[in-house]
Amino acid sequence: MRIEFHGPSICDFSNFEKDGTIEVQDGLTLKQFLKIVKLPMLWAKTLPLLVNYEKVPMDTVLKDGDIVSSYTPLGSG
Amino acid sequence: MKGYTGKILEVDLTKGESRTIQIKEEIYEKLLSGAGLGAWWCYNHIPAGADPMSPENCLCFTTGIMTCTGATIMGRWMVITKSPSTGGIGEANCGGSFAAGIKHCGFDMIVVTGKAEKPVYLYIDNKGCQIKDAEGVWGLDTHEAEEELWRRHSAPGKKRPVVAVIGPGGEKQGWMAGVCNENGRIAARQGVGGVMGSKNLKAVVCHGNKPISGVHTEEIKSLAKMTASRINMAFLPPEIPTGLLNITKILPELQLSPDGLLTAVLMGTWGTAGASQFTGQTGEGPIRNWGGTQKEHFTVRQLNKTDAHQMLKHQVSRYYCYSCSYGCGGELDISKIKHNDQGYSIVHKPEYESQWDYTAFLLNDDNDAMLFINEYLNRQGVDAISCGGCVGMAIECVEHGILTKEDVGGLDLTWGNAEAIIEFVKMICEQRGIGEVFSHGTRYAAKVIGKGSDEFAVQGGGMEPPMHDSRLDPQQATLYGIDPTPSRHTSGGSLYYGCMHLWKKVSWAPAAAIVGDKSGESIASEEEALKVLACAYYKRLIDGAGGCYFGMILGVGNYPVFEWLNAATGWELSPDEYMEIGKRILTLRQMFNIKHGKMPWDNRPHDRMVGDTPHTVGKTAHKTVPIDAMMKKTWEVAGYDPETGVPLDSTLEELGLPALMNMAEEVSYVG
Repeated sequence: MRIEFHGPSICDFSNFEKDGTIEVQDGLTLKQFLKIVKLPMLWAKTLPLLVNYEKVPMDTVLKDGDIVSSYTPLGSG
Repeated sequence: MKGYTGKILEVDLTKGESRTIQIKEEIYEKLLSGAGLGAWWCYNHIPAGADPMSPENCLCFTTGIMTCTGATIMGRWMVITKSPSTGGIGEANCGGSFAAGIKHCGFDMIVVTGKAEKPVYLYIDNKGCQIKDAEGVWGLDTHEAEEELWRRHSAPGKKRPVVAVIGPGGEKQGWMAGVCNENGRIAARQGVGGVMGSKNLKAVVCHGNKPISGVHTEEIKSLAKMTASRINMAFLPPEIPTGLLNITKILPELQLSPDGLLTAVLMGTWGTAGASQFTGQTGEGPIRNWGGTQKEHFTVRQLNKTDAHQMLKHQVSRYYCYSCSYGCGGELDISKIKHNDQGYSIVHKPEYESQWDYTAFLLNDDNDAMLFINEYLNRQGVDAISCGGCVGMAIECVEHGILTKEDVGGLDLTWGNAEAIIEFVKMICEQRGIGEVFSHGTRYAAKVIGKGSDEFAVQGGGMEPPMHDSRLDPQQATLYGIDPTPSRHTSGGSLYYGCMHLWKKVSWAPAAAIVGDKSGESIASEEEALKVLACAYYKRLIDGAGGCYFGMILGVGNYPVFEWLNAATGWELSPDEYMEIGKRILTLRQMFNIKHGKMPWDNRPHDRMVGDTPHTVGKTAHKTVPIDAMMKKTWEVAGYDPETGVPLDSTLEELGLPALMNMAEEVSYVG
């Protein structure tokens, strides 16, 4: 299945497509997915982490086309 | 009702008359309201070559189609006029409550022409417009004047009116003066407040309650609910904030893949000033009037000392603009800070621009000084960005012997000297001594001072740039240059484009480089030009809808502007067709400038903004933007002459602009 991921630049994006998606095995939970992209668990548990713009438990099973978003610092104003 | 009222109010201050004008449906279909309607009016009604400070100039207060329809984050109002600082179309954009005030009086726009014999203000309600004597209001600062007008026009059981007002900076016709509402939310840029002062117009008071709606109200509200609920998902738990700002220190590079929705984390917790740690750590915040680097000149300790945490210590409440579900504003109690010789107490939280401008940009680590200056400028009604640029230029002129200590009022005007910076800001606002010269902005000051001072007058097209270093973002540098209202960070840039996710809805918009190497952004390619143009068109569309930049960067999936516009108007346009409207607005603004002799290359960013002489250390080291090539390529892709930036005749025809640019006589007076 293919997952779209938006996260900070400390993650491992080496296996991502240019469109920000990554092909992973079916049946992965959110927690397992975060290990693949190397998002630190402290970051994931402390800062906003959404799947399809909803807060979900770490054991949620992801499905094809899901959008996983983790907080990314940026500037504006 | 299709979201818009179909009417504008025209007030001729010379004649002391006002009248209502019916606007053809075609105008809204081609240009929306807000920035599009204002640009259309100004193009058709301001004579070529008119002095911006003359009665011939028009001053338009306008808002967007979506305002008051039930959509969220749709409460922006704009002041559109011919700018004294750039000589082209001027446009300043603001939140607060005035946008709804215009609409509830039954208008999409209020146009002011002529000049009153003595100071006046407008009082507009459901019955129409009265021109009232401004005695007792003229001379007050923006806060005092607004309070006085609220007092005069409040009645038991009736909602308080909303007020747009200039301060002493506008009364003195300064080229950096803006227009305020809500005690310090300011439409700051392009000198629009100076134009208002030139008309002897102190304020516009709106006190109507006419209903506004869209065609499909329930759909609008349903979409608004979705946006608001997603934003609520993005907030931080209350125990988290301390120290979060510092996580930017561990990020390796400015290579981000943001979900725009999560910008709400930053904005909701700290407001826009929450960006300061990020801009400091990444080099995105310019230092020492664009001439230095954080590594050389402003320590991490100083960054920490002046970051948004320090402001939160003073915060007493959150602040939301009209219709906002985001709430990036805040109210601070600064009654106990140093330097507060004016006795200020509850004030608006400084935006990032002010926060950075009066700290790292001027190498000042006295946070209280920044808080004081921000409020002082709001009350004077003067643009914090441009004023900070003037202070930076003046310091460098002193440093290089171009100006003497006597020239700057005997001040020890040096980097980081908070007392001297405060005093020089006052000199500019009050137009004392050389402050009078700087009250016209850096480009004007460089012309008067001469002696090579233009090297330190960092501006593009007469407008001082905001606190976002374009050397690190070629898209932003190009947008600074190609926008007819130049040096405008809210038109977009690489980081913001990444947040907007336009490629998910607009067929021709390229996907952002979400991951990996972004070096392609420094190449004048068609792909980069399309990204720049997508930002530019989308921003114009948002301004026609009445939307907010911070809604815009939530991303098209979270901030459904295309769907909202269809629901409000009953149209069934595609995102591509809406982007065409954005292009039409942008191009009409370009044609305004050309009509007035301001040719597109005039807006090229200053050498420092693009690294013509690159830094050798820090995050901006060896960064030079090929700005000329990128501006040319962008113009070419837009259908403009790449050598001159003038839209081709064929492009004007495709956009249907020739007919829209010849409509001065085609107005229908209805009252």
